[in-house]
Amino acid sequence: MTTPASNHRARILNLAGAATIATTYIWAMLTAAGHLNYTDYNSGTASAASVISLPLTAGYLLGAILILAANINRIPLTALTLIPFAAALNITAGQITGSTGIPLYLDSIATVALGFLYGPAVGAMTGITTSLIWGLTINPTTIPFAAGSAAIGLLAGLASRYGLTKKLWALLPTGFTTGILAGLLGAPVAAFVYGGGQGLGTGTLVATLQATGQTLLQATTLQSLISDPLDKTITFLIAWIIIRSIPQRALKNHNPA
Amino acid sequence: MKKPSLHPKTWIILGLSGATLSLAPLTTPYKTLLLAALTTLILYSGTHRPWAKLTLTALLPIATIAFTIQATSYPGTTVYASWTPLNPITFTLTAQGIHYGSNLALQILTFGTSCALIILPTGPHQLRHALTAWKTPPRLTYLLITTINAPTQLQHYATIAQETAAARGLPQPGLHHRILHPLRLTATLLTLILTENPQRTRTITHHALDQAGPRTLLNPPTDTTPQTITRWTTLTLALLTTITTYL
Repeated sequence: MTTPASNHRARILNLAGAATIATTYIWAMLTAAGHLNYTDYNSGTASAASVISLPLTAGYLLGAILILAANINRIPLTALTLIPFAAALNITAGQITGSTGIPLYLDSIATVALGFLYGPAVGAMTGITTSLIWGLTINPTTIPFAAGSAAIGLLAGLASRYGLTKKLWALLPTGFTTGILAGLLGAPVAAFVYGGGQGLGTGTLVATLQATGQTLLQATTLQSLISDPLDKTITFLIAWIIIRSIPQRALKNHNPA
Repeated sequence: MKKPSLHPKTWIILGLSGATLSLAPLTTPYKTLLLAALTTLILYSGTHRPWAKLTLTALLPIATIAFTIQATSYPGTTVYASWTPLNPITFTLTAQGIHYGSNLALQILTFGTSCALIILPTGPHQLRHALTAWKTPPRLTYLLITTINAPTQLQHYATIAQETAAARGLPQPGLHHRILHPLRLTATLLTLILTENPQRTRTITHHALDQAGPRTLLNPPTDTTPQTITRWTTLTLALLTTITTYL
């Protein structure tokens, strides 16, 4: 049951989670650009990039855990019981898309759908759960992307709350903008934790961009800004089509945002 | 899967320690040693088959791609070979690129193996025991454990949906059907999940998910003092080593 005190606590934890993720991202950017001097830390390591991996992953995960802690007891039980299946749908779609070699992901369709139906908290929690469990069971590389997944669910929920999912002309730019944010958040993880090697399609793009003289972070950021906005626009469209094709009787017991 | 020989809490702490070390700025020889230590633990747990499958299908391809990217496009100074397929794209095989690529590939393999240590020797049931023993919120434990089990249930739903469609004579060959089939199947699965959800919600309400107080577990795994000492020593050592790498 939610009380004013628990809502206040949740708001503080949500803000702390978002601030942790944002601070981590800014720190990683400044460090990678050489604005923060970590030269002494790099002796004996392969590159300056090596010092970023751990604080980046820890900061993103801490932010995601704070968001989980803020909302776990607030969301309705009907939404809580849907999240595992939504996460399973994301994992299945993501695995299939990843095996095709195309530079897209399509691993957040159910995150966006639940964000549309239940709002930002459920959307964010679906994203985080997908990244964590996908990482623990099939593909460990998804774990550090939990913060980006949370942002996708959060923005999908906010889009629904502010009526941006009613018309296609408003929905598609929202998906595109979500993709830009998700791409920016995910780029340092792709660069410093995985060296740009998430898949054949995206990896080839990163290698080509780096071969033109871009730094690894610039290459993964550009790759993300090419892949993610397109991916999230398609994802938002698919989620929208799917929700419109679900019979109203199946939705009537739920609590649309 | 072989019965785990250690308490699930121990496996989780070993996995978390390994994950922390794998992302720390260790040199390539130390990361190789870490991979060897983690592989030994996997062999000890008796879960080498699922780990080998995970490594071959998920970790090794990503590690190989990361290595190849860095080996051929890292801006190094000791150039072994170069290729310009199109100006200004120049791929160069450098010593520094190979070094950095190896370090990244090892980072991916050690991080993935550490994550495998958390889930493979424990499984959802043992993991639930450990999370409950650590007084994790029951809703969070439910969320994590049910998500691990959900793909099996989803597969069941997908089979029902496909058999129903086949019985109605719906599947048709052709490109149009192949493109639309995943979309239709996803919509059907979501409908099935939403339709069954009120029942699922009632069930977990009856199981008193939101009730406060301690949980009683049937057949809890045995914990021992040496294991408690081992896991906290391991975690402390991992954290100290990590801090040392930054000093």
